[in-house]
Amino acid sequence: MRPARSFMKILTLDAALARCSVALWQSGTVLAGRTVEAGRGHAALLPVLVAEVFAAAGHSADGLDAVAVTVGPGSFTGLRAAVSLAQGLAAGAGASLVGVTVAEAMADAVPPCGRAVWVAIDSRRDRVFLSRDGVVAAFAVDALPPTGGPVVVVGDAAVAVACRLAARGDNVMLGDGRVPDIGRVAAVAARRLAGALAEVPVRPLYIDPPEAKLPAGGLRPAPR
Amino acid sequence: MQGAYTQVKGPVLGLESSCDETAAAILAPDGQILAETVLSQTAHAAFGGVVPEIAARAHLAHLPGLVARVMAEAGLNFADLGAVAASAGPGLIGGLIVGSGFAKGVALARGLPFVAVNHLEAHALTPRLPGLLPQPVAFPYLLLLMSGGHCQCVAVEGVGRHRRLGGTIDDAVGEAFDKVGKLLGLGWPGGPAVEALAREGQADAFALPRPLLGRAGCDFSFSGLKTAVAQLIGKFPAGSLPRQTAADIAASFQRAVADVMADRASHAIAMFRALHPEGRLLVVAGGVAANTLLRTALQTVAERHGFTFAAPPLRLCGDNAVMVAWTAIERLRLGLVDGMDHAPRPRWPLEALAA
Repeated sequence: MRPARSFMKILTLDAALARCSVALWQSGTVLAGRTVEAGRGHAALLPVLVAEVFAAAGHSADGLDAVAVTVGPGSFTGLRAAVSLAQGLAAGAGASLVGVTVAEAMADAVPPCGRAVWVAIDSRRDRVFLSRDGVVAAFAVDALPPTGGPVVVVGDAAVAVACRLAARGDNVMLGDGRVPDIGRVAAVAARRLAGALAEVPVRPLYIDPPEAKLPAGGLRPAPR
Repeated sequence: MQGAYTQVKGPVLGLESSCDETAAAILAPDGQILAETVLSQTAHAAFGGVVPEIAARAHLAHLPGLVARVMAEAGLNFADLGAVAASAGPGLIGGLIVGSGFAKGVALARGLPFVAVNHLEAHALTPRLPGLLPQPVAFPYLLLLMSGGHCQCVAVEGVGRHRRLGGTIDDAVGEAFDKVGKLLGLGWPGGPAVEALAREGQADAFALPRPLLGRAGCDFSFSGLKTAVAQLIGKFPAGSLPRQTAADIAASFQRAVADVMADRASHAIAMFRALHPEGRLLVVAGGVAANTLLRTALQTVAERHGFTFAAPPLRLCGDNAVMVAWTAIERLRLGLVDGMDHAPRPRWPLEALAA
């Protein structure tokens, strides 16, 4: 039987953006955590951080209730490094696997301010993944959707988005969150495990279809 | 890292995800295959080649299910395992990250050694899998690796000790087959379909180049041959080719490849012999080893030089996870394990293993 939410032990991983974080979380507290600001090399770094967190907490994977991982939006490479590691950890430990979106974790860190929270994630080539009310879509930074009221913007593309909105006269405030805080990821995961939040699939939120070109002029049909 | 594990303490889980096959296998410490599965991704066909991003997404989506399946088939829990291994290169980085990530996760959860396997070494050591070939295979032997992604002649001298005698300077041989298959309208991957169609054709119908034939060394080149086929086919209007013409082109192409392969293999054997006068075994691995004409041509060359010819069964010639788990066992027996900081390597030549 699953322990009550407050006693759950959750190993939490995040490598969605330019930061690698791992924390062992229980009862609202980070028992041990490691964070490295890194834009690349997540596949080699994240497993080392997990080993360090286990060592620092004097803990092994035994007794873990869940492994939580951020599923994006974010860097495809970072997301795959984290999700595959989480899959292996959860399978090996016999623990639940739970996904948390970057937007959920970041919005969770914004204090109530009477504004809609926009989480803006850089998707390169002057595009952003914009999460509004839990729905994520890609926009060009010069073609952002209407705000429809006061907004606060967080995320690694928040400055670019907030500036564009301000330039067109929208009521916008820039929040200070740029990348997820690992404690927030764990807290959202705990709420999800307790059934307070709808499940999300534990696979990267790619938003965009895979980059692939069909052959120009199509393929030659079979011989006759 | 060396010395931590001199024996294999339980079954080894191997993962393969370096290209467009997602695979998992479990081997007992003595090499007995307890369970194996391979999923060949089909979503690439419409694009006429492997699309890296599609492959990476598919590996991540399918690997956990495949692992669960082999664990169940072997009747094991993760607590029963002795080690975990993944193909960590060379290959497409997206897939390598997925396989390594999953394997490291299991290793961390269970406190198991992790082995980062070189995919080429895995092909090279497959013949040593107990019971695979009629007689136990000892070092050294000559390996011809012929697949869609790789094409090289290697003196296999020991675990982590491989000498590349020669290899392709442009396309891999399987790549040439797949590209010609695509040009002929046989879909993708079209290599096997080229062989099937060639049976209806005349191998002397079209004169095609034999790149590097007779040249010193055992390098290969297939891009000129492929271009010659493309120019030949380009003379026909768009749409379906007449079946007999297509069959004649397929047969002529395949004959050209067989001639080149036989010549290159002959040179490779001579080079191998100069290094290892006692060597007497030629092993062919990689998906192209399934081609009967090429196989026969290589067998003839081997026998002419007094070499025994051997090829693993077809399912172990193409990409698979049995070879990954087996290579891990060979390395673990020598005390070779890898750290959690091992970075997957899209380029990872065999010679770099000796360093």
